Amino acid sequence: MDPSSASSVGKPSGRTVVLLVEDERDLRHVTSTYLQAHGCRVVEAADGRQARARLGSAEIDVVVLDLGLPDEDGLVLLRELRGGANLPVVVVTGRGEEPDRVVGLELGADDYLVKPFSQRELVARISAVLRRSRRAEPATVLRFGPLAIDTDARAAFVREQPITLTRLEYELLAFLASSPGRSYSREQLLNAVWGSSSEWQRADTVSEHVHRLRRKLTIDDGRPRIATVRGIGYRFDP
Amino acid sequence: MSDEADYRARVAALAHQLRNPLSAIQGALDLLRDPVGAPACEQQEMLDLIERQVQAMSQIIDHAASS
Repeated sequence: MDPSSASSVGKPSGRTVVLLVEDERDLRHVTSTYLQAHGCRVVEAADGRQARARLGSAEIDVVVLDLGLPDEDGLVLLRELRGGANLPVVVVTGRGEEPDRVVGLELGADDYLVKPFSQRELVARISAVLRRSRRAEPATVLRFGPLAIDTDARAAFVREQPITLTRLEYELLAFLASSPGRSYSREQLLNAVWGSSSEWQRADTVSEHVHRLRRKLTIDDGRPRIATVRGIGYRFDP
Repeated sequence: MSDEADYRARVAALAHQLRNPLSAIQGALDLLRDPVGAPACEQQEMLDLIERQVQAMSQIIDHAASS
């Protein structure tokens, strides 16, 4: 196979921006250099905390995520990525055992590479997940009974009437509604919605926002609703 | 834990530790061999990186053999 024809990553306009989350410095360096040589712009992160900060400050097209992060389990970050921004994710891991692969794919990884891997294979997989994600553009309006969430306009409606939400109330609603039936702890919601500023926030902040959201949504027949999951956190029931 | 299970767990841990340096070495070789990647990297830097990772693997194996 001719590498020059098989391994460039492109998108219709501009360069593909890859968020590379990898704690091992040398591996991050060679991967970043290879991806840049093949037409990508690479934003690097050495741990989960940096990854969240980069996600908030750069327009990312695809994430390459090492699951073995020093500060947290990469599966938690993966779950947030799938629930929130819906970015394509290629998981890279040293854990090649079947249960880990299954959990990674169940949590929504678009593809899975086990170390050691070839850089050409990584480039090919990034290209493939980008092609797939462009074919399947997400719906811009999520509908749950009387509730509609327009993710392009970043607005919510009950029975077609707009609801006035603060930015964080909207983000919290959109995040929960993007994964109906999935429970999140208050800490996970802080990380996903409040992001890099979460270290200054307390878990009570989430409860307060959920309380206000429920009051604003006021849907008579009870569905959809933000349910309290005892001992865990919250869940969006469609 | 049985002897067999203990042995398997130790081998799995060793394999896991070797995967990172192997990936970095593989990546450096991919860069050096790639017609687009090679001009984008410093050859000496890649050779130093490979040597560093080989040493890391040797230490991992020495540690496993002596424990």
